[in-house]
Amino acid sequence: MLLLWNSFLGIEEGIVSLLLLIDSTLYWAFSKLFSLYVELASARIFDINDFDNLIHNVYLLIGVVALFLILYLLLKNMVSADDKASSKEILDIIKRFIVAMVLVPLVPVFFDFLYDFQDSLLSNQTITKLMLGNGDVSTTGNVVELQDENGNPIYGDDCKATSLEEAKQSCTPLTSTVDMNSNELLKDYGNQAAYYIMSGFLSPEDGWEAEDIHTNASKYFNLKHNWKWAKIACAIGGGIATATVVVLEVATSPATGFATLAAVPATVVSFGTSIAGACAIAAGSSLLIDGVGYLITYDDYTWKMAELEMITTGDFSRITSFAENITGGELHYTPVISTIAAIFLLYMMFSFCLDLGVRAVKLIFFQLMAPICFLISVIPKKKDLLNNWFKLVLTTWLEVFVRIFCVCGVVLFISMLDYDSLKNNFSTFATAILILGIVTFAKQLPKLFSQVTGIDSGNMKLGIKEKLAEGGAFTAGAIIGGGATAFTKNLANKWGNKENWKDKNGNVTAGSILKNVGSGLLSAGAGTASAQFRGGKAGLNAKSFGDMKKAASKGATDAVNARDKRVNYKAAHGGNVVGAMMGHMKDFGGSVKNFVLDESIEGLTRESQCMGKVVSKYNTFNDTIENLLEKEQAKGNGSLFLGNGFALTNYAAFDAAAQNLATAKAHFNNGTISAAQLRAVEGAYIQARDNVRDELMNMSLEGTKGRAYQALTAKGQAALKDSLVNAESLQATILENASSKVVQDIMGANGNNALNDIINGNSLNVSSFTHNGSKLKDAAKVAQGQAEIKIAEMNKEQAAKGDKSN
Amino acid sequence: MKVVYEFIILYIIMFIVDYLILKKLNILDEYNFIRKLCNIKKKITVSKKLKVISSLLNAFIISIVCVFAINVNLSIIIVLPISFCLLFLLIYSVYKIYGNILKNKLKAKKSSV
Repeated sequence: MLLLWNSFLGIEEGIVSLLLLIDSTLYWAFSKLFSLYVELASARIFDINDFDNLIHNVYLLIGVVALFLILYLLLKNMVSADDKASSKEILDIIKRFIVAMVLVPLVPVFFDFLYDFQDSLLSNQTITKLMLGNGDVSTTGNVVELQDENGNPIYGDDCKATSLEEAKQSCTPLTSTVDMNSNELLKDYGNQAAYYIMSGFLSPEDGWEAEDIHTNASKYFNLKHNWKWAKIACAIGGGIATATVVVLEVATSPATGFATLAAVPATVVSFGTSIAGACAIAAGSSLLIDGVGYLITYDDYTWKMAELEMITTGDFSRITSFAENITGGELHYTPVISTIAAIFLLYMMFSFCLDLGVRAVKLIFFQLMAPICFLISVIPKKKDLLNNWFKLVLTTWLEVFVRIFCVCGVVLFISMLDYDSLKNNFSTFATAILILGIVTFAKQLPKLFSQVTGIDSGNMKLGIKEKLAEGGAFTAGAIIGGGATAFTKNLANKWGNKENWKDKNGNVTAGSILKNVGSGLLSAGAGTASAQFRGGKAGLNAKSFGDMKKAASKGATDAVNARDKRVNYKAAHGGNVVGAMMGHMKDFGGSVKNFVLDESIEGLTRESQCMGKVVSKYNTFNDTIENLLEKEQAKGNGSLFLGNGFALTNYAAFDAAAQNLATAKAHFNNGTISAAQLRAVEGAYIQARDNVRDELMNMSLEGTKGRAYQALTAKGQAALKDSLVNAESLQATILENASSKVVQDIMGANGNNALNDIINGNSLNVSSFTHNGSKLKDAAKVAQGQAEIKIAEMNKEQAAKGDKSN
Repeated sequence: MKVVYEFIILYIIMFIVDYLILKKLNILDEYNFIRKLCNIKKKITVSKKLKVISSLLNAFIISIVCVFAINVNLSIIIVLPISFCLLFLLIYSVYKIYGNILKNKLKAKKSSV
């Protein structure tokens, strides 16, 4: 029973030791990360002078381009100097240019000042001191007696005693003093921060002082001894349990007893596994206790000493030797919660460290870009660039302080908690929740800080995944993954095929082996490069490990497909390299021709669409005028279009042709004229109508300022209202699609006369079109049709090419 | 020889930058600038050919000044003002010449119509 009780006590202490070991590792990592953070913040990762030559050339190149832009605007304003606003702008540009030229040499001085100021704040721990003070563990020196490996005091050379007993009586042992306020201690930001947080979860219980909590190493050796018995006990217990099960099975069910016996080996194995597991735990715990025992170098080790050591050396492993004190009620410990808090803080610090890496490069980038920003801000439309630059530099520079403030805030809040009061008023669980609340608050603190102070603290998101995605880590992963997969696949394709190892005669020779080894490596190398490129392209926007995996897989598959396509293409073109090259040259020639003549499918489709828009507008314009003419002629309102000599000169002929047509139709109905005669009259009518329509179109295209329009009566002008709107719309559409070759061709063969007329605001005449009047529509339709036929032919060609290569 | 290589490389880069970026952003309004500089009354049709020519001219001006700035062994504070003057002269003279050619072409076109 005593053995079992001892074992139970051992298990409890073992578990506490294990948890303390995990915590000590996590807080140690946190302290190191915190120190790394401070080092990263104060370190000037790049020295601008290292890139002197590069910077000089980059400044010059971009500076010249910026100057070119400024001068262009300056000259443009100068040539139109008649305008008062322009001359004011010129003066403004010159003024800002002088300011920029003065500011450029001041950039390095400005950055040196920022870095020096930052160094001074960080090296003096200004923010940490402001928030946390100089440490509240102890401000007095702590004297520790030095002892040898047997626990006896060590004496100096001045001790003349001949024996240990004599020395104990006549000499003073050597001591070591650790002072909290020493410079060493002040520089150890990380240890202090980690200690403060950890002390929230592990601290002396009420009525216990740090100096009074002693750990005893000999206890651990006893414990080790007990664990030896525990191991034996678990082995004996396991064996007895297995035998009991077998006996009980046979005794309780004699009929099936022998059948059950057949299953004995399985049962034994199952129990054996359990015993092995139990013994493994026992052995592991024993080893752990061995380790803990090893860590303790002297028997009389106090919690006070552990605290000092944690702060001065960052050795958090010492806490593992206080498991007994925790189970004994001397130390208060909140397990699991302390581990969760440590993991979260580690995550936060790691995220902040990543930010600092980005910040260091950002500051260098801003410094490099400064002259360009200054010069471009001279351009009137880009005035804000300089302000944006200053804002970005200051925001980036301040990021480090905002983050230190956040971490210190968490440390401060946790260290400020009054645990005694909390324990009296709340349960331990509620206290733990409160501590976790503070840690969670750390996540929101940056945003709150930014909102309260108005200082944009940059991207304060803690998500490491997003940061890795922003940094292109997943893209890099996709590149590596895609490359590795394609390398394996291409190598397997070459080396895995038995036929590839043979020569032309089907024999395996040294030459054929060498050739296949070489071609396999070459293919794998080319495939890797291809897959890396494709994987990188596919993984450009990868946001997670899943995306990265997909992109890598896609890159490898595409590379392998491309390889297969190449093999098929080669086979379709004579099966040799020369044939494939000739095929590619032929394809290239066709592509060049298409490019030069813009005869790609996209180009022709674009052309067709442009033409379609123009034709549609033209149809509307044409129909409006034809309808107007026929309607007014039928009503006998032809006088509407007869002005004072400038209006429709062909209207009388059209009117006569319309009357002739009406008479001819009546005669045809009476049977006095033949169908052919009627068609002839109709033809004359259409010709006459087209002539008048063209006149009306020109009148509408000239607009309200045209002489013919001005000559019309008010009623006539009102009748042309819709036509004017449609004419304007047609001109706008032609102008929009002026880049289309078909539009240019149809609008005017001789120097784009019609287009120039529209662009220059001159009066447009239907006769300016190469295919004037109604023929424009027909020509456009023909051009559109031709484009569509070509598209169909090219699609067919492409399909045929695809078939051939497959 | 090094200078020639530098010029060719810069010329190609600047042409691509001008044609693909500056023209798309429409930062420079060369056509109006030419019209005003050479007193051309008619609006100039912005064709692809004209865009290419203006990009070639811009690339020529920038790369000449860049090659000069890189190879002259002076401080950036001295080089930039010199480059400013050089650019001023080149922009003015090159566009003046091109504007006059364009003006004569337009005149010839008008008379043939």
